[in-house]
Amino acid sequence: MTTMIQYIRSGVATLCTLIACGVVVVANRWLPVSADIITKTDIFIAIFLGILYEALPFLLAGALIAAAIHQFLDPLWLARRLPKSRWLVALIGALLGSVFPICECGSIPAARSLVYRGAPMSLGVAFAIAAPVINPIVFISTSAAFAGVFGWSFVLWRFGLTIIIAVLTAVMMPNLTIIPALTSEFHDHHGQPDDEIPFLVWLRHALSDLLDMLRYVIIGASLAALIQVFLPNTVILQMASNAWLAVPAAMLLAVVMSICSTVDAFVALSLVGSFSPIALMAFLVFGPIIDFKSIPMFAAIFGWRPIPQFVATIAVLTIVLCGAIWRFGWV
Amino acid sequence: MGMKRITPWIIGGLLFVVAALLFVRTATGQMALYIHPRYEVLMYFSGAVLFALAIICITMPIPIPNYSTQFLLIPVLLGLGIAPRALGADAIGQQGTALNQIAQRPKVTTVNPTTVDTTAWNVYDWVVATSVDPLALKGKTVQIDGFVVRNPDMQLADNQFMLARYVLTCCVADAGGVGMHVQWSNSAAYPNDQWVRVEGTIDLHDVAGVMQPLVIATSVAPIKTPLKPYLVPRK
Repeated sequence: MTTMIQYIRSGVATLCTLIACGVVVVANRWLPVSADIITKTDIFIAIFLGILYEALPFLLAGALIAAAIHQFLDPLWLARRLPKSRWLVALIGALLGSVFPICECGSIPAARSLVYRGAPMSLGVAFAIAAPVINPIVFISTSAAFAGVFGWSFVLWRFGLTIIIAVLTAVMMPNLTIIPALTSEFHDHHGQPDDEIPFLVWLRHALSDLLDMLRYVIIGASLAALIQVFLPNTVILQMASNAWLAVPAAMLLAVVMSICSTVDAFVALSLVGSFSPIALMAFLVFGPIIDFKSIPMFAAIFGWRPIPQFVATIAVLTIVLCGAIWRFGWV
Repeated sequence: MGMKRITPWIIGGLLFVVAALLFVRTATGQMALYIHPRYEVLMYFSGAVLFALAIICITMPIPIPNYSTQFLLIPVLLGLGIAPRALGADAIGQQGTALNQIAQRPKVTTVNPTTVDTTAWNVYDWVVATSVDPLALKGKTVQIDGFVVRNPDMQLADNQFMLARYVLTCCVADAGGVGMHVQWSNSAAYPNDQWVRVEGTIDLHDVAGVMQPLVIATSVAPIKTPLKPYLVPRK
């Protein structure tokens, strides 16, 4: 009976998807609708596919890394080597990203695998927050973009603030728990069968993680595209001229653009004329942690309940810390 | 049940279509309508991995998350259903007064127009340079390609049009329009979205109290839409 209901639900969902996409495609191509609607659907589709295409390689890399952690990390080995202090554990989690070149699409499933394989929660949370920024690719892109414009202190503060926010959030929100992935299910039921080739087991895990996270990236890309259709991001840029609104505007822009952390430094560079350095710092610190792709992904591993507090904590920390380094004249 | 065995085939098939889409769009150059050309090699990587995962999906049992089919259908339908098309004059119109915002630069990055070679400059280069120091560039000769935009908000004279381009730094999500006013006796001959090559010299005119560059055209010729319609900032 329950399977019957599942089939009906699945069928209705398929029908809705077909109709929704069909309406967009037909309106865009064949209906004699106004030029305005054609333009809006054009922009929607271009931005949706743009975000998705650009996220895919990083999502795939993240799924492969998460699957490798799941398969090869020995929980006992990890538990014996970690310090007792939550602060230190969180700091290790925040710095762990430096060996994984992934963005938010990859750090969140990887964090789930880490926790599932015995890492403490605070390590997983700090890792999920910091890994998109604390990695070699982002270091190269940020220094290439900004070392010559605002100097090295700006580049280093981006990484410093990210680590501080990751550690503080992990310690301040000790009640977060991880919802296990579907992968862990078949892992447990079948154990680690000796007759299976490890390479294929790895790909199976990666596929499962990919299918899981791809759904949230698709939701995020659609939302970001939809908002840009009705609120072109250049309109947000105009809020930037107000000194008080500049920092929140930059954070809002980062959420709306939902671009990958590995490339956002170059986008921030194109905003140098519109935003103050400190607003760009907020863009570069907040954007990789919170955007339309990452929010549903965080909800997938933490559940929806703690998400508002989680987002608010990170937003407040970003504003306060950016305000502090601006007040002390460090950037 | 039948469904249980069919679902992996559907998902595998959809993953395969996405992989094929990545290969074809990149190989034909259409990927440039979505992302910065710098990332094209990553599309081949993604296509190859997705292709491998599609095979895994069909041949091995894996737990499939709820609604995977429906979500995968969205990029497949939108990616296949609509021929890739560059954003044009209508999309520029939606930006309103935010046009050229993307080319604002702090005053420190000023160029020295007497030493810089401006012959190969595109619309974006000119807009960036003139936003810093318009007077220094007055009288320079230009040769620029772009599409024609004309809408009521732009306060254009009858013998003027806007020559515009889109600029993207990473993907279409961060694209912004740039444009310059062009003065040409036969402006009305070119409708919106017509691609043209403009040759002329830079002059300045007053738009709502701000000195703006104006290209006094000596020739305007229609051209084909370029293969890479979006500009990318030079590093």
